[in-house]
Amino acid sequence: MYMNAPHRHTIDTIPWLANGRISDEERRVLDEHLVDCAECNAEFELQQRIHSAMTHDESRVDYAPGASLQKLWSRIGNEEETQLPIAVSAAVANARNLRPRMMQWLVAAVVVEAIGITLLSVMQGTTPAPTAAVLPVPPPVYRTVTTTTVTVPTSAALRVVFAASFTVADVNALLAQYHLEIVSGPSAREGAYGLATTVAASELPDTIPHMAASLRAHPGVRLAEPLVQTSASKP
Amino acid sequence: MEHFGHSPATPRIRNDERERALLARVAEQDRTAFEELYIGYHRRLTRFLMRLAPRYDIAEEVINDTFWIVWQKAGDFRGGSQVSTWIMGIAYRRALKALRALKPEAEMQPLAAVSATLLVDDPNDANATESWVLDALKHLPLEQRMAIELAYYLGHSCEEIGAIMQCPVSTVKARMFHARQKLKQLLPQLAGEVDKGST
Repeated sequence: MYMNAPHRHTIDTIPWLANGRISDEERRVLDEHLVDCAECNAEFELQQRIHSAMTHDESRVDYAPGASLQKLWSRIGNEEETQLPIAVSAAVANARNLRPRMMQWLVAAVVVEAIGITLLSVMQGTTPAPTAAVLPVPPPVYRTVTTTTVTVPTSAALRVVFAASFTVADVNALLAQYHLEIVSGPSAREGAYGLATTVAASELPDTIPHMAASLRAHPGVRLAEPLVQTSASKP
Repeated sequence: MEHFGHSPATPRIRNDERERALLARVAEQDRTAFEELYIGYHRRLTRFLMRLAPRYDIAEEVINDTFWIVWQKAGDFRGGSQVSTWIMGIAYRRALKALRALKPEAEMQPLAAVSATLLVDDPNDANATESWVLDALKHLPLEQRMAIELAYYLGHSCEEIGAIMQCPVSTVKARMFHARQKLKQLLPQLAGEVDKGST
């Protein structure tokens, strides 16, 4: 059946006339058509009755937002934990009372801080402070502003100059491989570091002279020589 | 009943402003704001979903899926629509997926059998009318049912339903038109009473 445009428009729009969600302008247009159209009037009355029947449905629904919300928090907590790197998940587990986003930022800040401190320490010849379980480092040696001299450990066994292209990570890996740590340096002239062993001599895989020879063969090492152990002070 | 349909525009705008502020805090992972939003929608969504399938476990699953997305994506909300439309759009898609997996009884039951049951009682009885309408709604295809529930039960405008269903306004009107035609087939006596009253 052919329907003229106002009739078609009214028929299509009647549901929102019934639920009250049309503009005043639209309502005026529809009212004009409804004055003369019995079919649209009947449809409007029917839709009003259906709308009324649907909105008066007060079904007795038992709802428990608290319990449902708890389930959702558990789910969010579980999924956020699995998204975090393995290295930091233990730290997150110990700090569940912190907000997850805040926790991630804190962990990232600690990692950045650890890298920065390590880099600074290597450049200044001090031992880096222990931080997050990201970089295995020895206990710290503290220096106060009133300290006039810094005691250099007497166990420096090797003097080593690293290649300029050698990164901090490369240095750390090499030191770990040979059970060594930086105890002094870099010297002003050659940029040499004093290295000490981190384990007893009996536990070393090789003798100091052999270790020096082995280090010299490494592409990241420009110079490596054994030292006679002495006590010394550095201003 | 909590209902959008007859509230004036100003409270609606005010409510949207409040929800935008809450959502901005949710984007910053503010749990208190998230819980306020969740509690505010839980009742509305539970009732809406329970009308579509009387299974609280499914309603809860859809609501929590919806709000899990709200928690993850609150920062992506750009304000192009009302917050309620955005949240209802997410809920609609989650509900559609969950309900399609249920194989609704309505599609398996012949319409003729339903029409016969609808003619038994007095259509002037308000409770009976309500009961008939609810029975008849169960026999609509899911998307038509959703369209009419969004319009009549939740009181959304045509444009809002288009945004929720992610379809043009013309599609919303077509779905509503077909839903109304089918309801008329299912409610002949009710429609007859209206016709008599109007002549």
